[in-house]
Amino acid sequence: MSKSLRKDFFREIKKSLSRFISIMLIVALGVAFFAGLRSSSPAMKDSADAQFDKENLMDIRVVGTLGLTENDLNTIREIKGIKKAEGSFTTDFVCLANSKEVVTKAISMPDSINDIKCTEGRYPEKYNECLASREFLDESGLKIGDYMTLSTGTSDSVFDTLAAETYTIVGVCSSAYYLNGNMGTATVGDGVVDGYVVIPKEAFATTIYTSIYITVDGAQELNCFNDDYTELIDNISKEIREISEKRCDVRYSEVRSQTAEMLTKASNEYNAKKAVAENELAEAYQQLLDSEEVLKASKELFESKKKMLEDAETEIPLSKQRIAEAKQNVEKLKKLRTAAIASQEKAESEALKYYNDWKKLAESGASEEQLKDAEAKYNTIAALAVFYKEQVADYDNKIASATKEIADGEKLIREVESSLANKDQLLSDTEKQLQDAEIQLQRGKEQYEISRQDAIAEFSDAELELREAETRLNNMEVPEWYILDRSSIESYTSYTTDAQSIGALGTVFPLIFFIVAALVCLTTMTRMVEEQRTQIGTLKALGYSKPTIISKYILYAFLASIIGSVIGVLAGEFTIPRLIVKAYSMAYYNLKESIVRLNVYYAVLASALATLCTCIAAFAACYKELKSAPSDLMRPASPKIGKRILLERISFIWDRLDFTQKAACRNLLRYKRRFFMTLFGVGGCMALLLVGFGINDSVSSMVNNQYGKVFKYDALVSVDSTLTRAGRRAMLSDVQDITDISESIQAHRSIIYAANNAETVDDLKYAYLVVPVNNDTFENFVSIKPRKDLIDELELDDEGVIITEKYAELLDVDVGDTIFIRQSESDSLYKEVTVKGITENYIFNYVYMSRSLYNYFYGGEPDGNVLMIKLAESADDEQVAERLLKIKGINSVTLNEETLKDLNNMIGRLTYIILLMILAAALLAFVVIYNLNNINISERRRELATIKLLGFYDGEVASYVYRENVVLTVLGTLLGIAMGVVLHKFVMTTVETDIYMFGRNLNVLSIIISAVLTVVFSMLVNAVMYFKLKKIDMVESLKSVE
Amino acid sequence: MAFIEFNDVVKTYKMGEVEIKAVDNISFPIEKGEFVVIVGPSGAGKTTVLNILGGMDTATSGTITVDGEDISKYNEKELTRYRRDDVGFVFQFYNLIQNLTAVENIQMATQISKNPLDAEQLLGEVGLGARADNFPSQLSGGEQQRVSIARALAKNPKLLLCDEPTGALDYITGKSILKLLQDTCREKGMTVIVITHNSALAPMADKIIKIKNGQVDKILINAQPTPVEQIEW
Repeated sequence: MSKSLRKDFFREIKKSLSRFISIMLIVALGVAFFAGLRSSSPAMKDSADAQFDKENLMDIRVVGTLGLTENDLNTIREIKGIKKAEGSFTTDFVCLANSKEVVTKAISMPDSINDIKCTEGRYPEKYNECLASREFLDESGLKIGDYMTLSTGTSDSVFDTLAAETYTIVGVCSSAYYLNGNMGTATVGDGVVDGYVVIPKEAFATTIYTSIYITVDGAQELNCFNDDYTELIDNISKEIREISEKRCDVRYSEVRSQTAEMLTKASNEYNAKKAVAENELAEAYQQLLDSEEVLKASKELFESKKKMLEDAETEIPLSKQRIAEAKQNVEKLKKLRTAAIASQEKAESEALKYYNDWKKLAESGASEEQLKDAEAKYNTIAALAVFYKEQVADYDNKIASATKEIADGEKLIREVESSLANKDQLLSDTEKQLQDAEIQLQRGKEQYEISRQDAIAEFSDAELELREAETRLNNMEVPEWYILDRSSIESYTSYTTDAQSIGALGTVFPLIFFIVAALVCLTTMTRMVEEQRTQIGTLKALGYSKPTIISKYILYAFLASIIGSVIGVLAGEFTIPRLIVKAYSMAYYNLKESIVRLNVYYAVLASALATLCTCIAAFAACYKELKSAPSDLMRPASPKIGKRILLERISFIWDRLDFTQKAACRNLLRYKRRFFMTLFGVGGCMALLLVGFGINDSVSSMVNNQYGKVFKYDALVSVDSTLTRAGRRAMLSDVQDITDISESIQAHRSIIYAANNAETVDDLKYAYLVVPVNNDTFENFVSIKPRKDLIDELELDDEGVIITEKYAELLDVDVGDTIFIRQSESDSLYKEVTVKGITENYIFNYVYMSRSLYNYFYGGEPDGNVLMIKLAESADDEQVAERLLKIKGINSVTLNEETLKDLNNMIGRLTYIILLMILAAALLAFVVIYNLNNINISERRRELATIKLLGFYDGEVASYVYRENVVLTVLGTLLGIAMGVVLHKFVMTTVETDIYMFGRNLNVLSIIISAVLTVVFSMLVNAVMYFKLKKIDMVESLKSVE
Repeated sequence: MAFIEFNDVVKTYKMGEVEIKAVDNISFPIEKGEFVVIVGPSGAGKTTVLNILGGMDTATSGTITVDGEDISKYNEKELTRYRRDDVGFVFQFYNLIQNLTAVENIQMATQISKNPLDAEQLLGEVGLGARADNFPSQLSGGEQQRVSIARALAKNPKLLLCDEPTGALDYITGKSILKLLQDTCREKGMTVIVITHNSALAPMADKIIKIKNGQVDKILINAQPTPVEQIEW
């Protein structure tokens, strides 16, 4: 390039700075979106990976159906390639706080895998201290320093698993294991885990690990979303699987012997208890007999007493008579005594006289004879006196004893009389006492009977339990290890899906910008070359070579696009991924890392593509002009020829149009490049908006259709499949007792693997096999009918299975084809089944099979390991779930309401994407329409100046120009609808995973909103253009054509 | 008072700090139905006079009356209405809308004016009745200029303002256009003002206004205008 040309080149840029900038900007926009969106998915993955590495997130998790032992852990540690392995305890509990039941996971404090970060407070130091997750605190309303009490939610004791029941919350924690609040399901409470607490390992009273977490050598260095990571993990997983069988056998015999031992112990205990109880019963019986005896004796006593009283009553008159007789006797005796006393006194006085006579005689010396006679006389009389004296004393005695007898007799009579007076009272009292005693005895007998019956029932229950335990022991299956990778973590999986969705967006949308950028560049460069026709001719005439001349324009485009690319890369790669990572870290609030690096690959790719596009456009613009002879070039270009259009032939329309309408119609077809560019720009804007809203439509229709149309049941209950027949009957009747449940059905549900031919074994697609126990009412729970046909429902019968739409797509089969079902991925046997129908379904894949067909294939009745439940309108779902979980034999309850809530949260996250789309669409619309209007106005400057000069008002001039814009906007919008529908379908099928089928339709409302937004964007640009139009100087119309 | 009157019209342009007087105190009268040629060399101020008279620009000072209306006091909207209703323009490069046929180009004018003439009839009068449905690109320069004149006349204006109407045409065609203009003036009594640098056209006018250095050099009244056919250049 000569010096003067170089000068010209830089002056050209300076002079046409707005054109240079417009190319630069559209390139910047295209590059920004391309590089920005493309590097967003890597940025999301980098950020999460960094967070995972920082917190030592496990690579592999091993879970055993019978738990895992220290020996298992040691064996795993020996595998080469394993960096660390650590046992962990996890149990689901219910925590009652502020009269709310919070379902919480209790996790043992890890040593070096799945780090628990303490964000507030401190780490636990004692066995009864814990950390609580933010979700737990939010749900329970507790805070640091509060006490928290765990319960199992069943009759089991917390102390079976933990050393303490109550813990002090000493800190708040977070973990990369739970990027968001989705922590899966639990077997207690309402079945949804609300939060988790972390307690020291020593607080766990068991030595059987729930899971073993493993980190793999060299895994941290890899990005966990990349294939090399997956490969590494798969290899290690395979090695663990190899040792698992042996370990499982060991564990099996261990648990079996333990269980058997426990069973014997329990059985002994039972027998001992039974003996004790029987003994007790016998004693009680003996006591009853004794009491009966006592009662009998008391009764006899009562009878004799009664008899005695009656006897006494009859004796009273007799006694009275005897007393009266005795009294008479006393009187008689008293008379006799008085007579005796008188005789005594007479004898005594006679004796005294005789004595005196005797004495006198003696003194007188009377004869002996006389004396003797006198003495004899005296003695006789004296003896008589003594005789009377003795008689009196005898009477006295007799009287005294008779009097006493009378008094006694009278006393006795009084006593008997008074006792007879109370006789009735006494008798009735005693009788009552006896009756009471009898009743008591009766009661005792009844009590005894009840205790006896109770004991019998209790023992038969216990015996049943023992027998059940025995059956369980006999039926005990060899345990299995589940070797899970990070995709078993709910939040990890949903994050991966989100990152993939963003990646898919990055594939499609920048394309629109690139096409538009190329078109804008082409139009702009063409305009530039047209303007410089004369100069090109002059240079050519002066002898400059074609490449020299063309280089100016290509360099112009090149420079603009390089600067634009740099701006675009910087703006795009640093803002868009950052925004997206930020937006997603709002939903995944435990994601704190934000790794946004300059993605050189996409930067270079985007810049190269953009530059190539503009340079080719510049070349194409020059090419035509350079072919002409210099002399032609130096003359003004002949104006574009006006052409008739088809519409003119329809004269009754054409004649009614005024000249601006006619001109507009012809202009539309005259400037074809502009026509298509506008169409594409406006269409692109419309399509972007439509896809944005369409994503929302599809995802919400997926969710709403699945849970509103396809799944008519409200809850899915998983039933313990080892339940005995009696246990199952009891469980079912318990379920029926819940009045809020309006209807329920038993079904068998298990994972199966299938392909469309017998040979495929590597690429089997999995689905749930569902076999309802009752074919007739199944349609009340799940709608089985094709999506597109409005016709009748499909029926489950022996002709074949009904599979869901996405599954049919995955297996590439249609109605009437055969699929080959295996029970596991390594199952060598397969069943050949005809596909009888394909049913509408969105989430997960299902194969529906009739009961008889199942029987035919698998030789047995379906086991009914799930229960589908429909609830009454007014029912409180969570309450019902809680009640269900308390029933013995029910393992878990999944409420569709809860699932719906989670899914709706996911839809909420789509808002960011939609906003991004609207922003992109608006930018696109502005850039394209502004650019086009600019070119349009500058190209038609003369024409516009003329009509202005001819006396058109500003509004009329504007409407002359806008008419075309309006038509192009309308046409572009229509094209955009078509583009949008196609693009939307493409995006949705790209984003879809094997287990999701998004709704394939767009809402009319979305189309309307998108169209309105497109029109509004276009109108805004036109409003800006109005001022540009006003500035056109009409004097220009007088100037010569350039 | 004359039909059109320029009284002491001054127009100054500011170029940075320098003031340039494009029109320096110009005054002239034009009577109704006169054929006037305003002639002068490049840069004399003809175009400024045309711009001011055509309502495309305003004077810095002085008054311009057209049919008794003082257009120097008009605001932008009134000026647009003035251009729309009272002035018919004929351009050097015809300025037809390429995308409209001959008759549609005329209709463009008739559709916006208050008192339009019939487009087809006018096209017949300028001798292009048969070419009504042709696009400008299908017409020769002279034919395009005829359409342009028809378009100007279609509004039934008070004056016809022609800016170098023959500038882009060859000699014979130029003559025929001038003839058409002269005939229009004579037959319809239209006031026609032709602005040109070609002084050879002067003899055909009723009045010749010579402009030099932004001032009126001379105003000549031609009692006996030369018919177009006899003019040579």
